[in-house]
Amino acid sequence: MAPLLATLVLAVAAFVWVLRPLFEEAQAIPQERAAGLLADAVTRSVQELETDLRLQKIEPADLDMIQEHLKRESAS
Amino acid sequence: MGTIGTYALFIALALALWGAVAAFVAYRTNDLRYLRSAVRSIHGITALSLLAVAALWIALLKNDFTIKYVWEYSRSSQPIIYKLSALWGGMNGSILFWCALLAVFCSLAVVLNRTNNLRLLPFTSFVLLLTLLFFLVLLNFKTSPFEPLMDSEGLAVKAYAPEMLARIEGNGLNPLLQNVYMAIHPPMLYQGYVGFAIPFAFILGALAHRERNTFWMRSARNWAMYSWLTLGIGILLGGYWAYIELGWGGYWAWDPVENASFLPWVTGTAFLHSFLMQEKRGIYRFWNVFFIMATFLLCIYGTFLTRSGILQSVHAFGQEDPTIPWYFKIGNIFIAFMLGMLALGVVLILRRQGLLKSGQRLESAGSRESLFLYGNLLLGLMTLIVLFGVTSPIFVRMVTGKEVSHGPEFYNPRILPVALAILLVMGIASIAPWRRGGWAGYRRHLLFPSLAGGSALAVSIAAFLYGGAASRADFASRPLTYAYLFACIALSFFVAAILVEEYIRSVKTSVAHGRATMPRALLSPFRDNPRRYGGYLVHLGMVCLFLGVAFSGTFQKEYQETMRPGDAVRFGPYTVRMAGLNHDDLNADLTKVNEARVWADLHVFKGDRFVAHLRPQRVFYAANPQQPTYEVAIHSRLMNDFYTLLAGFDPKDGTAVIGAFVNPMVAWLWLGGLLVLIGGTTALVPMRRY
Repeated sequence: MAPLLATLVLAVAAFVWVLRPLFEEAQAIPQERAAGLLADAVTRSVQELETDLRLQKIEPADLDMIQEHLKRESAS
Repeated sequence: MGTIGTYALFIALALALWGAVAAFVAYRTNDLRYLRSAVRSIHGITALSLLAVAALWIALLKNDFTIKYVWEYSRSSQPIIYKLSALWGGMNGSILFWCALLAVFCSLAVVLNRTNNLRLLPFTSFVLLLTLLFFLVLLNFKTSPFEPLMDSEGLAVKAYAPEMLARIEGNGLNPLLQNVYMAIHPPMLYQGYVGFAIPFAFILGALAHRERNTFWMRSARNWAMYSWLTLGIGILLGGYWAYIELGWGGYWAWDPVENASFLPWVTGTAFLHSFLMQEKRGIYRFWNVFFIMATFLLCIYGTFLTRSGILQSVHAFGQEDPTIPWYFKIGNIFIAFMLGMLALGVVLILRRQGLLKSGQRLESAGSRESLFLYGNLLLGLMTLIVLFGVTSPIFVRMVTGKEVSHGPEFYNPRILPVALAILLVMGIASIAPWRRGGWAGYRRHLLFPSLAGGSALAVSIAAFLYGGAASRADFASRPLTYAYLFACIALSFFVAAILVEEYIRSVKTSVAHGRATMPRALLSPFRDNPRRYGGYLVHLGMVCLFLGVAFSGTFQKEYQETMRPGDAVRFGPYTVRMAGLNHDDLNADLTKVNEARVWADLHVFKGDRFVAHLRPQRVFYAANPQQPTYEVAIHSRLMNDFYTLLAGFDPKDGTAVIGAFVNPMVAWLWLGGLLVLIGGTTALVPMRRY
């Protein structure tokens, strides 16, 4: 009997906790992206490519082109 | 404990069902309240599945043989480490472990992405919850690890009087699994399998939410990298376990279940590479979706192969009762889940085709972008060969009723050329320029590597040509094997030279640009670009693995001799003197001591020099005393392993049959694995900004 009762309490507690947000005020899921994260991702990608520039694995014109692409992508 | 575990799993199932509905409603309505509820369901499932794991562990530690699983996979005298590892030693426990690990990873994934990728979470959570739901359905209705033990009369032994209960003893864990590496290998492997569910769910989430921007993929890439690393280390640990436990002198047998773990690792490798191209250039979007879907589905396929009883393998969990209706067979449940997930992925790909178009062309067939594509095509080809080798025997058996299995004679001739081509592409891609692939871009970087590869080839050929008549005869008897070996040596040196040259150039550039001074500059490549140089360390590890496999596969020598105490026998370059045959009390009550050992004391000499005292053993476990396991003894050096085993013995007259292998360069496999671990971990470190 005791385990059954404990389970019942556990199940009720779990569902009360899980369902609680439904009784809060309605809110839309924010759609904007974290701007800091995007800037950071672009910076890191460019930084990796700059390593390649120093190692002569990319031409400056190609780096500019890819950099442009990354900026466009982050804005898309 | 059984009751707590059963109820915990049942509540978790209800939460998964609700969570999946809530996540889907959140996806359709964009209502944050439902998303929060779905996320809480995931955390609730995590807590409850961990509670179930704790309940099973406590039952194992307390020898609660009223639970069938504990009775099947544990016994009172089993050491604590193997009582704990019994959690994944049997099918039902391993599925519980899978589920709990998946729940923990899901919780971590939603917490880590709650701010940066919140907009992708509704559908991502939906996919994760569907996966959790699948495992919880299995655990509740098919593979419960808390099922009570029943006697032959159909009465639960739990109802017995305490003095009768005290007399019940468990079967114990399979002796082959009572090995410390087997205690580590499955958790590593499962982390890999489970971890790939996260990038899979995120990719489907991104498609469903029409996310074209690729920067969110960094998070998915980190999960994929971690899973790839743990899966790879898990595979290698499995190889090491096979090497020291099974007593056949090898580490990889192209066993179907080994292959099943290798498949997602190969497609995961392809994903990690093409991801880099999508991130920088926005290309290979479709490839990334394809490879991550393939990786996740192959993880489930591997689990299906191990648990459905469809395959005969040392890793399989056994056959299912043939009287069970088809729709309730575990294999069919797995197939239904795989097909469901595949259908979900295909529908999303078809409906979001526009998002998967890159709009960019490859400018040159020799550019870095193209080389990554060739690499992925080769990895895809390797996947298809292994998948065919694993799957075709199943279909042959279904159609003709004949048992067919593919071994090294099927895989080696098909895989070796592809593997060598991958090695070549791996080297050239490291120096390939972005966008352009003209000869001028390569010329300045290829001189030293070509010299290194060419010299290594010349030296190896000369060594065999001037190595005496036996060497020449061996060369003549298997020219193709030698051709592969020479190609592997040349390419390995070529790639290693490229990697070393790349590293030196990077250090020099750091110093020349005033970014670091020596000796700090030696570490600057790893600090400034951990993904690139961590990746290079991984590649160097792969070179070691290639060399280890090539040499040990070509030059392994096997010996066997019957010896008496005092005998001295020559095994290749080693002389072995047997000091004696010893044993524990073989009449001891194994239920109390768990194991009894017989061992030979061997003194090993190389020339006149004493090099090692080896003790190969046979161990009789209480769980299965009729089949003593091997505990091999190895004198391991960088260039050679001297591997001994006690193949047979007679305690009455002290004779022993000693098996021995001389395995060249096996240590390079473990060294390569270590480099892969270090490199992979480095590649996970966030890049330093400057």
